[in-house]
Amino acid sequence: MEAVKEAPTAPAAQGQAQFETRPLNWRFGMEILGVDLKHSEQLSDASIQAMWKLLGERGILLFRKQGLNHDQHLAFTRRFGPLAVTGLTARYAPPGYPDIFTVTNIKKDGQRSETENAAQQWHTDQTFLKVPARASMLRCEIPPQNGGDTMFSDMYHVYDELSDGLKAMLEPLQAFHTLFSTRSKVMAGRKTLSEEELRRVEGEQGAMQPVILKHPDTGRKALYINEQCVDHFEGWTIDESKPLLEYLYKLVEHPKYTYRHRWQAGDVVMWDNRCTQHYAPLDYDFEHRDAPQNHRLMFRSTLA
Amino acid sequence: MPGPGFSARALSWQTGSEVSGLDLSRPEGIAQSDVDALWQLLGERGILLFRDQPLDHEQHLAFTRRLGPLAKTGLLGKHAPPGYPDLFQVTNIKTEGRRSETENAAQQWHSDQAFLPVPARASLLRCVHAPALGGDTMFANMYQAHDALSDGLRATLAGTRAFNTLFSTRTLAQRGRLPFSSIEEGELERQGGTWHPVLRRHADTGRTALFVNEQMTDRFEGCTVAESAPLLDYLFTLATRPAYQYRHRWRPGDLIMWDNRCTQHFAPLDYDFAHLDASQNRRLMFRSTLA
Repeated sequence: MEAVKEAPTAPAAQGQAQFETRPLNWRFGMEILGVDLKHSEQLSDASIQAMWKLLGERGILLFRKQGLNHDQHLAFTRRFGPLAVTGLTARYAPPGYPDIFTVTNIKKDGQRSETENAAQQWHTDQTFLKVPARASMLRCEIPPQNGGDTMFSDMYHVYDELSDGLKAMLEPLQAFHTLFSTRSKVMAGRKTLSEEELRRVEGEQGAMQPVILKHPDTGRKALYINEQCVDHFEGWTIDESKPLLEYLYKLVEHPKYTYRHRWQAGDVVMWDNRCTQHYAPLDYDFEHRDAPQNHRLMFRSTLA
Repeated sequence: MPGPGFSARALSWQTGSEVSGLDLSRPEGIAQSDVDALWQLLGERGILLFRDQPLDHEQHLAFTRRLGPLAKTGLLGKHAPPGYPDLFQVTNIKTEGRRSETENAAQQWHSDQAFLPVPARASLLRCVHAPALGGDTMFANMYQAHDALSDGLRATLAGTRAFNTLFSTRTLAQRGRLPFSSIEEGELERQGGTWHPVLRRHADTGRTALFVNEQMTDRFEGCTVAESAPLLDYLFTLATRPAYQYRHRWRPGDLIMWDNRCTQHFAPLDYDFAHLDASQNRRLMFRSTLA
């Protein structure tokens, strides 16, 4: 954190890292300047390592005006490690790119998009898997003229501000994460799973995760439950868990912990799923989402 | 060994027994084995009802003392009837044209003296006047509340203490009462509050009871009031589920003894409180308290 400068200045941490940084927020979020992700193969290993380190510390990295295509998007993602299994999002892959997840409100063959309302609850990606996605990368092709933002919340900060008593109470607890949580809205309005998809997600129906996650890179602790996937603590009933979970979910969305991103075409935002949550508030004229000025088209890649 | 000198009848599935066959006006005539048996039954059933026992203050206190030493009256001293500092008067009857400060007592679920390091073991409430309709007292069984917890929540609460205080952010107890001006210096501080385990083992039965109450329990140890509120609110609602309750309709001459270690109680003001000065709405009760 100490290495972070207030304004675009010198290269970050490692000597060979060739980019500049600008904080997006007091405690989290960082814009990376001076890199061309179209040619990510030209980025030094030191730069990639420095970005990864910064991601763990700051939770989200923003790259503006990159204008990537699918191949360039995936090539940059792969610089950080292997891709995650796509699981259920595979049904929303653009033709020929099974590792990319399309998030859009644009109709196809007259049909509404099932992802037009994606991220309608605060969550982290793939926490219902035994080994959740480490990070995700979302790129903006077409933003609505007004709105269509994505919000991010800093789970280190939320954890840090819990009292010692509540930290101690939560520390030994585990929670069950599942796509089929009683709180989940993720399947609402989507077509039911096919036999083949059900088979594919068989091993993805849920996983136990610690309520307080120690980030493996930074060693810092973060709150690690989310409204979409968690409806009870291990050993507690849903009814018993609800009041405390709701208290914590309310903290997660407290404005002081959040950064709100107004998208521009060409943006890439990379987030760390181990210390942030995100949410799309549908803050545009959703009723007239077929109007061209309200079109929204985003693509996500995911890191194992 | 002779059998007990009383018989008992359940008032509800798990809570409360009516005790018959004892004359409380002559406590010296109650055998020690019966005193022991009453304590045992109290610990198991939480409350004991004695009907048709029109005691006076002396007899009430004598019966109480037969069961053990009296608790300190502390702040309740200001509501004692003249000459009986160990009794607490609960009434809606005006004195010299002034409203009673206890007309709305027990308006929140609680157990007595949970804010003291050693809370009262038991309390004995006797009815002199009951409203014609209503004026009930409700009791809830904290063994049942504990037993209803999941293993997971029980494990979390087992290591947790909570702060119980007369000055809880939730308390309504001081509303409408005179300030504590007459209390001697230091008394308020001594009685201000204390830490108790959230799950408390009953010394006589060995069973575990939930020991938080809406009137006095402010927060968990180390946690803020705001952080504690969601789970405490859940527990307060759980504790007062109708399935765990016995509701008593008072008759003059009734005396109820309750165990503060495994029950809570509450007076729902279920009578015409807007006309509490009407003679048919008069309510007059006296409580003694066991250390």
